[in-house]
Amino acid sequence: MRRFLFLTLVLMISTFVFSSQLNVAVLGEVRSLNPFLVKSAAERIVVGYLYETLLTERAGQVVGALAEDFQVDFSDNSLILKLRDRKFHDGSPLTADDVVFSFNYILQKRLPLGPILAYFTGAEKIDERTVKLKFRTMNVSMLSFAPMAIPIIPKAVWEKVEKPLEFPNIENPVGSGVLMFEKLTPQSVVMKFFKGHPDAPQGLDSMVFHIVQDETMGFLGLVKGDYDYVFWNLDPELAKQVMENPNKYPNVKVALIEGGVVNVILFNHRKSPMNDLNFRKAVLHALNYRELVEKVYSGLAEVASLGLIPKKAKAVYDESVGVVQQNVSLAKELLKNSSYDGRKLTLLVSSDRKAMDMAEYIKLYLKNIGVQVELDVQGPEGLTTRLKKADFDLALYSYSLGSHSEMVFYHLHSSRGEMRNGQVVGFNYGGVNIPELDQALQAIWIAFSEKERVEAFARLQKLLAEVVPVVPLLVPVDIEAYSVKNFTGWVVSPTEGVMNVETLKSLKPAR
Amino acid sequence: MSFSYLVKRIVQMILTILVAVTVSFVLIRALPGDPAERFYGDPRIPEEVKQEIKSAFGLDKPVLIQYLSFLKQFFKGDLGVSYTYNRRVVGVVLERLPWTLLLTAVPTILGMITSLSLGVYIGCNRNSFVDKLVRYVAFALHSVPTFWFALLLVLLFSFKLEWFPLQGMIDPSARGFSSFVSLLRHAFLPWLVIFVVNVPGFAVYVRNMVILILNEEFVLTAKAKGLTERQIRKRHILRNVLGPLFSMLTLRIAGMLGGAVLIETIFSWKGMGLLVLEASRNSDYPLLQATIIITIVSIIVANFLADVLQAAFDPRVRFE
Amino acid sequence: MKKRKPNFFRELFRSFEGTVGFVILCVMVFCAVFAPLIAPYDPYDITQRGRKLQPPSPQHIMGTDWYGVDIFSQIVYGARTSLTVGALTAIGVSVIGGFLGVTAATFGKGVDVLIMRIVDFVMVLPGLPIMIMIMTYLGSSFWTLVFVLVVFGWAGISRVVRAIVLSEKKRGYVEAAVCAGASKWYILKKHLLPAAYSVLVVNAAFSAAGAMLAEAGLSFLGFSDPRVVSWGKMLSLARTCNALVLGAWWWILFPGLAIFLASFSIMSLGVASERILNPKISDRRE
Repeated sequence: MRRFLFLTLVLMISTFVFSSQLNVAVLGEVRSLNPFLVKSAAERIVVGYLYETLLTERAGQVVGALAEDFQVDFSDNSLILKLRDRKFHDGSPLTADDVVFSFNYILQKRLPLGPILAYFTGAEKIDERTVKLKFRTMNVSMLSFAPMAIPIIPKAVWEKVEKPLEFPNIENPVGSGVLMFEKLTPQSVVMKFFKGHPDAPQGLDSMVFHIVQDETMGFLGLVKGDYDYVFWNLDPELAKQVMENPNKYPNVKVALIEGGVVNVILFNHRKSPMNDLNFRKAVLHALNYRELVEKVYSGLAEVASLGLIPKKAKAVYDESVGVVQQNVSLAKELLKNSSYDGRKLTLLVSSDRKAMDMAEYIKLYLKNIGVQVELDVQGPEGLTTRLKKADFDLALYSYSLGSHSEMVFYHLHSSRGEMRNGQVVGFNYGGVNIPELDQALQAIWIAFSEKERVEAFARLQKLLAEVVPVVPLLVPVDIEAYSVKNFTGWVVSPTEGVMNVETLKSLKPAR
Repeated sequence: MSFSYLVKRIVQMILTILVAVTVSFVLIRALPGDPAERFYGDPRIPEEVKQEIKSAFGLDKPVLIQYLSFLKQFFKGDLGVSYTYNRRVVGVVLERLPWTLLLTAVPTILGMITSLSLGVYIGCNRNSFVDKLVRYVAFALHSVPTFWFALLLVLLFSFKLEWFPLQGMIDPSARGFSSFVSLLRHAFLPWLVIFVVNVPGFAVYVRNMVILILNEEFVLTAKAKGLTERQIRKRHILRNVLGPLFSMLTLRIAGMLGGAVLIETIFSWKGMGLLVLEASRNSDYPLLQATIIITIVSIIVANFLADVLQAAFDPRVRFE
Repeated sequence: MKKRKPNFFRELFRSFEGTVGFVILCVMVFCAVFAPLIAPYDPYDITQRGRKLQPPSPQHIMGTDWYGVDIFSQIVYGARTSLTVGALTAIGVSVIGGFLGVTAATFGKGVDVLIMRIVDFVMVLPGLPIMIMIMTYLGSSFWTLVFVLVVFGWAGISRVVRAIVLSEKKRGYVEAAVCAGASKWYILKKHLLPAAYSVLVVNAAFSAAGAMLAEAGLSFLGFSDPRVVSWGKMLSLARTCNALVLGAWWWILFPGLAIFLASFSIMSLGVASERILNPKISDRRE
C-alpha cells in the first residue's frame, strides 16, 4: 500500500513537472473553426494559431509568413509571392496548388471576407513554389486584403466541401499554424504544438484555450493559477488594483502595451457647421484630453497624436506632429468666427459604457464653449445604420490603425464617403472631402517601399493636424495579464504584447 | 381514460404547435433589415452576391410559398443554419438541452420531494410555528431577485470561502470519475439556488392542497371510520396530492427548458438560456428562433403529457 | 365604493403586512417623485462624481461605483424607473387582462374559447427567453420593456377575472337583471365589473411586483435603456466592472435590497388588501 502511494506520488510530481501545457483563457464563444466565417474574438484567436497567411505584419512592417517575400508587378496589377518549404498538420506539403486553391475558393464560393471580392480577380500557379495574385487595381491595401488576410487551406480537405457556409470545421481542421487541433468541448479548445512549424517551442507540448463568458471569472482564474494568460484587455481599474497590491496578487503580472486603436470624434462634413474648419478647430481645442484619459481610462490611455497614427505603428508614426492642449478661450474665439448658429447638435455614440462616459464629458466640454450637444445612444446595429446613412452631426468612433495604418485611406478619402442609394459607400462616414488630403492619402496608396511609405505618412500626419477632418482623442493602452505561477520566461514585446513567438520559445515551467 | 379525450388533446396540441410556428415565422419576416445582409454579417456585400444568397435561402419567392416550405422543413426537423455555428441549428440546440435539463431538473425534483413532505407536515399542522415560518419565507422569496441571490452566494462561497468553483460545468482536465466530481462541484451552487427558491413555494402549494383534501368528505369519513392520522395521510392525502404535484413537476421542468437564463449567465452554464442570449447578442436569428420554437414545442408536449397523466390518475379531470 | 375607503385604510393598518408594505412603498414613491431633492448627487451629472469605488462613508452613505457615482443617489433615481415600470405594467395588464377576461365571460361560446386558448398559449410560453427575443428584434428601450412585460402579464389576470365574472353571473341578481330586460353592457358595467374590481386591484399589485423583478433581470442581462439609471442596470454594471474582485460589495448589496424591498412592499400591500376586499378568495388561496 505504501509503495503504491509512493508510486502515485512520484507519478503526480512527474506529471506536474513535465506537464508543459499552457492554459490560456479566451472571452466569448468558439462555435466554428471555419477560417472564412470567423465571428467572435475568441474564434479569431484560435483560428489565427491554426491557419496561416502568406504575409503578416510586425510593428507596422510587412514580413513574410508562408511566403518568403513579395514582388509587385504594376504592369498587370499583380503580386508575385515565393513560398517557403512548409507542411500542413497532416504532414502533407504546402504547395502552390494549395495557395491557388485557397484564393480561388473564396472567389468561387463568394465567401464573406470583406472587400477582397471587389478587387481580387484570381490566383495562378507559376511553378511549384511561386504564385501570382491578380487584382483589378494595385495599391498597398491589396496586401492587407489578400496575402495578409486569406488563410491558406489544404486543397485535399476543402475541395470536398461543397457548402462552406454550412461547414463548421470542428471535426478535424487541418492548417499549417503553430498549433494543431486536438479537440473542442463546450468549455475549451485543446491544441498541440505542431513540431513541424519553425516557431514551435521546445519546452511546451500543448495549449488549452479555456472559453470563459465573464471577465471577472477569467481574471479570478488567472489569480488562482488556472490560467497562465488571458486573451483580452484587462479593465484599467482592475489592472491598477493588481499593480498597487503585489502582495495580494503575487503571481499576476500586468503588461502595458501600446494600443493601436484611436478614438476619434467624426464630423459630418456634409452639414454646416461641421464643414467649417474654425468650428472643427474650436471642438479640438475645447476638450480636456488629460481629464478624459484620467477619468474614463483611469490614466491607462495616451492622448492621441494630431496625426492620427498611433505610436504603435512605429515605422510610420511621426512624433513631431504632437498633441493639442485644452484652450477654452481659443476655442471660444474660433467658435465665434465659425458658422455655428447655436442649434443643438447630435453626438452619436454606442451604448458601450466607456464610449458613453467619454461622450458625457465631451458634451460637457462643448457646453463650456457654447456648443449645445445632445447624445444619441445606439446599440451596435443602430450605430452602424446611423453611420451608414450619415444620420449624425458628431459621432464618437474608433479607428484601428496600429497595424495596417494605410487603412486610414478608407476612413478619410472623399471617394469612400460618397452616398449611393442613401448610404455611404465606404468607411468615410463623415464624408470628409478635402482635395489636398485626398492627394496625401493617394500617395500612401502607392508607397510600397519603406522610404516612400515613411515620407508619405509624414506628409499626411502634418496635413491632418492642419485640416482636422476628425478630432483624435486618445489611444487606450492594451493591458495584458499573465501569471508566473506555472511558467516563467515571459517576454514582453512593446509592440506585440506578451503572447508572442519569443515568449512561447522561452517559457519554462516554474518550480 | 377515454379515447376521444386523447384524440381531442392531440389535435389541440398540434394546432397550438402550428400557431406557435406560424407566429415565429411572421415575427422573423416582419423584422427590419435584409436577411441576406444579416447572414453575411458585412453590409458591404456586392448586390449579385446578395441575390445569390436570397435565392439559396428561397427568400426571393412569394411569402406563402416561403411559409409552406418553412412548415415542410419544420416537420422534417430542419430549422435552418446558424449564422454563427455554421451548421444546422437543431443540432446546436439539442447539444445544449441536456445541460439545461441537468441544471434545472435535479433541484426541481429534489425540491418537489422535500416540499411534498414539508407541505404535508405543515398542512396537517396548520398555523404551527413551522407553518407560519415556511409561508412567510415563501412569501418573501417571491420578491428576492434570483440572480442577486445567486450573486451573493457566489460572492460568499466561491469568492471569499473558495469552497466551490466560480463558474463553468466541468474542469476540462478532469478525467473519468473526477470529471463527475468536478461536475457536482460546479453544479452545486446553481442547484442550491434553484432548490432554495422553489421549495417554500411548492411546500405552501402542497399545504393548501392538503388542507382542501382534509376538509373533503372522504377524509371525514375515514376519520369517522376510526383510521389513525398516519393511515389517513398515507392512504388519502398522498394519493390525492401526488397527481397534481407530478403534473406540476412536469410543467416546471418544461417551463425551465428555455433555460434558467439568469442563473446560467451567472454560473456560465452553457444551457439553453445562454444560447438564447448568445444568439440575441450576435443577431443569429435562425438560432434564436429555433431555440424558442424548440422550447415552446417541448413545453406544449410536456403540457399534453401532464394533462394526460393527470387524467389517467384522476378520473374527475376528464369531465372538466 | 366611496364608503369603503376609510374603512379600507383602517383595516389595512390593522394588519402587519399592510402597514409594512404601505410604509415602504410610500417612502419609495416619495423618493421617486422628489428624487432631485432627496438624492445628494445627480447621477446623470458627470460633474457631481466623487472618487471611484469608495466604500460607504458619511459623504456617500452607500459608497460610489466604478465611475465615482454615488450609489444612494442612483438608488433614489432608480426608484423612478422601477416604480414606473411596475405601475405602467400593472395598468396595462389590468386593462387588457380585465377587458379580455370580462369579454370572455360575458360573450361566452366562441369568443370565450378563443380567448382562453390564447391565454393557455401565453401562459405556457417561456417568459424570459421570449422577452429576450422580442427585445432583440425591437431594440431595448423603456417602452419596449413595458410592452414586453404587459404582453406576458395579462393572461393570468384575464383567467381570474373570467372565473369571477362567471361565478357572479350564476348568482340570482344577474339573472334577475337579465329577466328584467337589462342589456349585456348594462349588466357588465353595473354588476360584473365591480365584482371583478377587487380581484383586479390585487392582481395588479402582484403584476407590478413581478414586472419590477423582470425589469431588474432583463436590465441585468443588458436589455435596458442605456441612458436610464435602474437598479437592475446597477447590478449589471457591477458585474461587468468586476465589482466582485474589486471588493465593492456595497455596489451589489444595496441595489438588490432596493429591488427586494420594492417588490416586497407591493406584494405585502396586495396580500393585505386581498384579505380586506375579498376575504373568501384569500381564504382559498391560503
